Amino acid sequence: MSAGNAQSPLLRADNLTMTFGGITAVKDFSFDIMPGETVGLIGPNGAGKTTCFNMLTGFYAPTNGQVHFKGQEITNRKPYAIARLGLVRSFQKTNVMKRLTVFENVLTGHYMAGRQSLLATFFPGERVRRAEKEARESAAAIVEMMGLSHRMNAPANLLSCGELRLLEVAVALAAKPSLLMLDEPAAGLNSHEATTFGAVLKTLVGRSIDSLLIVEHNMELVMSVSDRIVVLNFGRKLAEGKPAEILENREVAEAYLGKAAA
Amino acid sequence: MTLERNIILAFLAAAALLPFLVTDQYLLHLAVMAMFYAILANSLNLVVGYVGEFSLGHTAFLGAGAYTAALLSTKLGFPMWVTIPLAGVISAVFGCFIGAITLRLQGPYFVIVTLSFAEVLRIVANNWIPVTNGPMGLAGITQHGITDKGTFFYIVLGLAAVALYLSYRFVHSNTGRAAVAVRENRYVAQSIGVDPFGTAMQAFVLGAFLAGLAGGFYAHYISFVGPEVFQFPFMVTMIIMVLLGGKGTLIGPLAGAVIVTLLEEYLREMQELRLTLFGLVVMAVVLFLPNGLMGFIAQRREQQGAKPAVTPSTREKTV
Repeated sequence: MSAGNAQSPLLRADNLTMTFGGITAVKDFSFDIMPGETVGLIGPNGAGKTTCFNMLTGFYAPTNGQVHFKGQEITNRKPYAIARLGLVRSFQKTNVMKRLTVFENVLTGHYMAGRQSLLATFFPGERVRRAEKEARESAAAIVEMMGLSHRMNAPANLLSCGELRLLEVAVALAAKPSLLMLDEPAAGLNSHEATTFGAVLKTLVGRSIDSLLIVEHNMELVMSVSDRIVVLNFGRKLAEGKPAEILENREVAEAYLGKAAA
Repeated sequence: MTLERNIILAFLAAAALLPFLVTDQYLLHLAVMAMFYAILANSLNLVVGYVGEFSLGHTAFLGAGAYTAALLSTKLGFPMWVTIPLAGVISAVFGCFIGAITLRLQGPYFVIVTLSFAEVLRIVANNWIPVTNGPMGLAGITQHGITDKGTFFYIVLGLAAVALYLSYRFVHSNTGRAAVAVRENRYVAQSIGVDPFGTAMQAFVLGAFLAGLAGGFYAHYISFVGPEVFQFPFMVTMIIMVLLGGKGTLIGPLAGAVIVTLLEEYLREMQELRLTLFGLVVMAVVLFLPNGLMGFIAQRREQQGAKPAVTPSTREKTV
């Protein structure tokens, strides 16, 4: 979509490296995400995709390299501080607040819009009341947009796997990110659910969020939503390009399927 | 949320009528103690239910408040309406200090370190004789000539109303939801921009403040404060109240405080058997009502198909 124009990237990672003891999980990985772009990050298991996620969002401190978001350096900032700049992620293992209802989960996701002093907590003024009302309306709208209206007041631990995935995205959207990063959001979904999910994701960019980074093993889904694909293998960038180019890339096929017998 | 508020308001209103119906000083004393414990249990619940960590050192704040009021009153001659708020403030300062250290810990580490802070304060109270008068304690704290328990009841009721108001506002605010998020899932909380430490700190310091208010009242009501305010029996009583009533709810600890205060008193006739019976009651609660009375009621309502409260804005959408 916006590949090749002169805009400055929303997110830029330079030479990210992460070593755990003697093991190098990610090595000199550089990439960027432009505003309005959906980037797919793929690679075989253990390629370092989740490690990348954790470095970009402050859950890991990279051994080397820098991350810039909206022109500011965010390397080594705390995860919540990075989230407050507008970079919100989901987790590979489904992470929601299980004992809260769907609505409560999404309402909680609006935390950043309603941050307030302790004094305002005890003596809420007009501003706090309005923020609360807006958060409730927005939460209901997000639940509806994600197609979970019929489960509005169900506790999260009663949801199906597919519904949980949608809820997870709903909570992240509630934080009103400019860049949303989803870590294997379609894991555990059947193909019908994955197709529906992909359709929902496609509507988000440009409407609810500026850009999307998605790690996913479901190739059909990731190829259909992404503008650009980055392939990681053994912690290094193997290839980068449009979905069609990646599908025809021989090195990528080898990384996934092994070398053809020569 | 609205139901919870209405129950709390009804409880306070019913309590306000009590001294008109009951004139027996002994029963009024029980009512005063129940209300005192309601403030304490509520303050502990902010830590257990909303920080999500189990504190065994909450008596540090009860004691800090009680000693603050006792010292300001006996050494400087300050009146009750000054000493009680200051007791809350000083306790909150202790809360900032202790919280800054302990809230970086989780699980059993948090339990042990909070307990050790309460123990350190007890030892200080026992040994800093020029100030605290050691094990003899501080006696003769002014009661402003109030002899009627009914008057004391209104004072403690006022404090309970303040405590419940502040807790209600906190729990149902954006910050309170953030605290629940941290309790339920630390990673999700951070990914939506919640600072886990800062949020826990707010709940912890509010809990300390309210426990300090209760301690300040206790000092004037009993007119004596000794190192036993830091000791374990107070802690045990608070924990039982919170667990029995149901942690993480505002009504639970309130109900727990009333039930346990009365139970303790009625079981007194059993003499030595009292603590044993009490222990059995507690075991039964833990085994059969793991989420306390409020958890049990919520479960029953769910089984009977009663729909959980729908918020007004969502109701419009779904209809």
